[in-house]
Amino acid sequence: MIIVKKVVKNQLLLEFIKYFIALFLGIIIGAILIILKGENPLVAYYMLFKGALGSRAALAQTLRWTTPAILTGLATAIGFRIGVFNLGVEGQLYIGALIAAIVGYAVPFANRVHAIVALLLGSLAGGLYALLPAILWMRYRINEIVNTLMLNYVAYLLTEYITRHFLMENSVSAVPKQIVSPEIANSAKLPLLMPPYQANIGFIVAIILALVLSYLFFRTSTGYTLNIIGQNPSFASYGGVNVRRLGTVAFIVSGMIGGLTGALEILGVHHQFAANFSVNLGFDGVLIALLAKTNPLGIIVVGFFWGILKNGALAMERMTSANKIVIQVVQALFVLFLTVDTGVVKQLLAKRVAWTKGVHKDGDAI
Amino acid sequence: MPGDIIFQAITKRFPGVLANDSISLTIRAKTVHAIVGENGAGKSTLMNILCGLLRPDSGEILIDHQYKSFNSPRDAVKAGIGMVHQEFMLARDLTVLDNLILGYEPGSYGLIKREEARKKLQKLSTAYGLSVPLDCKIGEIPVSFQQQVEILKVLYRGAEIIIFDEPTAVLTPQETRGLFTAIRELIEQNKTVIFISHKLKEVIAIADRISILRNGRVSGELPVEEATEQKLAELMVGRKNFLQAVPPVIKEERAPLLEIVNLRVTDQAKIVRINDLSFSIQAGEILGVAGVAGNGQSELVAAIIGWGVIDSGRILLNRIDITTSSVRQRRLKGMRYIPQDRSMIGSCLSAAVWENLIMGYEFKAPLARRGLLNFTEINNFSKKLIGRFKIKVASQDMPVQNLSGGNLQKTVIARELAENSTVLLAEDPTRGVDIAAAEFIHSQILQEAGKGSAVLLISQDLDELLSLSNRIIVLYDGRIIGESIAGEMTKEAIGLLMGGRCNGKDGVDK
Repeated sequence: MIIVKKVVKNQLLLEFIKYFIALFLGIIIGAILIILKGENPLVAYYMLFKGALGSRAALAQTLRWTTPAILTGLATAIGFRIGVFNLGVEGQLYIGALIAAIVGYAVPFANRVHAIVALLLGSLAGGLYALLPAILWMRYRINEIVNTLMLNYVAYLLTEYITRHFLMENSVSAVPKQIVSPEIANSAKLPLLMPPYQANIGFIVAIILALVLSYLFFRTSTGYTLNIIGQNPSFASYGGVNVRRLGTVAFIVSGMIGGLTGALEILGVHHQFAANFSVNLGFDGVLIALLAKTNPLGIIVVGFFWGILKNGALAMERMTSANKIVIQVVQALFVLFLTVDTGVVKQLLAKRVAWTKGVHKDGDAI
Repeated sequence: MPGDIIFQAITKRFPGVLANDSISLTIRAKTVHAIVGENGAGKSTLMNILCGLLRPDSGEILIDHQYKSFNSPRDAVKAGIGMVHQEFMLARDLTVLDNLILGYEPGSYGLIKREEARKKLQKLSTAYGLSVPLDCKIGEIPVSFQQQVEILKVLYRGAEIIIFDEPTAVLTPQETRGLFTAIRELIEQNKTVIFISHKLKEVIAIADRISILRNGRVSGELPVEEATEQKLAELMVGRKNFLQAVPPVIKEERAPLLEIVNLRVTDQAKIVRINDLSFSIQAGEILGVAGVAGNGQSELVAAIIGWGVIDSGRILLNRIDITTSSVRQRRLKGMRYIPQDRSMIGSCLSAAVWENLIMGYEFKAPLARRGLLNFTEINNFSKKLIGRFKIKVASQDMPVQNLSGGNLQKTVIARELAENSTVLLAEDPTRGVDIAAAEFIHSQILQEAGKGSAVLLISQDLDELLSLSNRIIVLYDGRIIGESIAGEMTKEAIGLLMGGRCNGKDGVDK
């Protein structure tokens, strides 16, 4: 990488090359794993892309997976941008999903307002669930990384408990996959983009949200302030910014987007709440935010790429004997190789240190 | 002479900067050789090369007529070179003894023979007339003693050549005299001392020979007999005219703009930091605050700008009670602040010049309308400030971490003085900036007072305080221990007050 830095002067090109090298290395190691399994990696990767983009059905399914990838990426990025680590998007997603499901089946509405109310309440629930770690961190200096991670478990188990004991129609099954709420009313289901496939209006919501956040980050006073807080909260506070209040707000908004993601998953795809339905969607958000360096437009691109890999991996697994876990390894290695050089993680950690040093040294209240 | 240190054409280049440009210099053994120069002149680079922290790109160092090449600080220590750093390299929670032997512990099999070290250290400190309490923790002893610990540390490591990097920056005038006595004792005992400073008076007081660096080159060298402050200053900055700052004359009584009434602040450990402090500053007045760092200055500043929690008392800005106002509310009323820590508090190093300049103005017209940034206005705003404050930048999009200390400080001041202020707090506004920038900054502060602002100037630099202030108060232990109007107090008198009036009684048994 150092050699590349010396040769290539153009910053943008340099960035592009870095991404390319990181991805290439990931793909090579993925290929080795596929060979070890006795498959031709070229065939496997071909199947992956064909399965992700090769047909209308494939594309629809890719967009279905792109939606939560963009949203959880945005949710995490808001926190990262300001130096707050919300690793609890997964938990906020569960809470939002459960509330949306309850509203979806239990509250009688005749029309589309039903879906909108369910989305808003799900989103609000996610925000409220993020308020808890936000207060713990901003006010009582209890490490937000630890408490958001722990609250994820609370969310999994709490939603499972509520579903099993209060929502399930016949509470006999003990298998987690079968712990489900009743199905939501038709009025709460989201319109599909390419019927009959799962891609739904949630994709549009994700794109619009990314555009709005991009505008907020780069064009408004608040965006400027958030950006400065992320780099040096002491300076922002010196300039008259109420750093802790903005930090709390950012945390809550992050949680709201997490809750919204869950609500969209339920209303758009699953149509009922199921215990443990989210397979690490919230944690994918961390990787996506890192890869996109918290830029909302970058998150759209990375999110789409994520959708391709996620959907394509399933196709690859169907068509060859290669396991889809190989693709998860490629994804993780991509992030790892990229962060080795660009110091993204180092920058983020510096932001946290700045909070601990700057924001928490004095006594001003939220 | 044996023991001489000879630098032969030392060159060291950093990205974009030629820090040392073929420096050749002979330092005679058993003398005090001062090296003076502005910040960025190359003093620190040269010394870091001598003590093994940096390697020169080209050039040689000879000690005792032998070529030396240091790969690490440890090599330099072995060659008898020790450095007393400006920022003390001490662990606050360890005892003096443990700090002294750290890294060079006597003993074997992982066991430390502390008693052996103690005997050796006691012998050393008697020999050099140093007195340090070996069993106190570093955090408990005053700064001047910490410095003695640093000196003892290099002696313990067997140093023959001792480098002092800006040693008086943290000391009162009395403590400085004590340091000079210690340095003379070192010379008596056949050590060689290299004294880095930009305080010309002190250099003339202690040095035998003086070398002046400018822009990475030796711009002059002379024995102390031929040196005058004027001459040294000329060689340092390369020009002859200096503006002597003159505090504004205030003829009539004016309205007080900043009033502090019975302020009391205790810190988290329940220690009283500000004790029943009252003063006021009227429009156009510059009030200087002298005092050794840690006597309540930072708590006072925090209380005034709205950062700290106060126990009791009131703060009035232009006769309006702002005791409970937020930082933003106070800034909107015209309070401005040039903080001591310009890189961590006063600026956002990784952000662009324009981003640094608009902080505090970013939410209101003309820079923003309805929360939306107006980039044309921002561009004009920062261009205007860069021009008005003569900030040297390649582009306003570059991060300020690439600016020199003086230009960074100008960026801070440009932002704070972009609009007329009601009250200006300036904390060590020229520390570590070169003479030309310092002069400019002083003129800006005087101008601001001239426009009718009330200025609170907190500084460790007594010359700065004396030349700018209408009135000076001395803080000691959170109280005003002395007050005087311009011209009525000498540096020595202030120094005595800074030490708590009774010289020598600073709470440590000798």
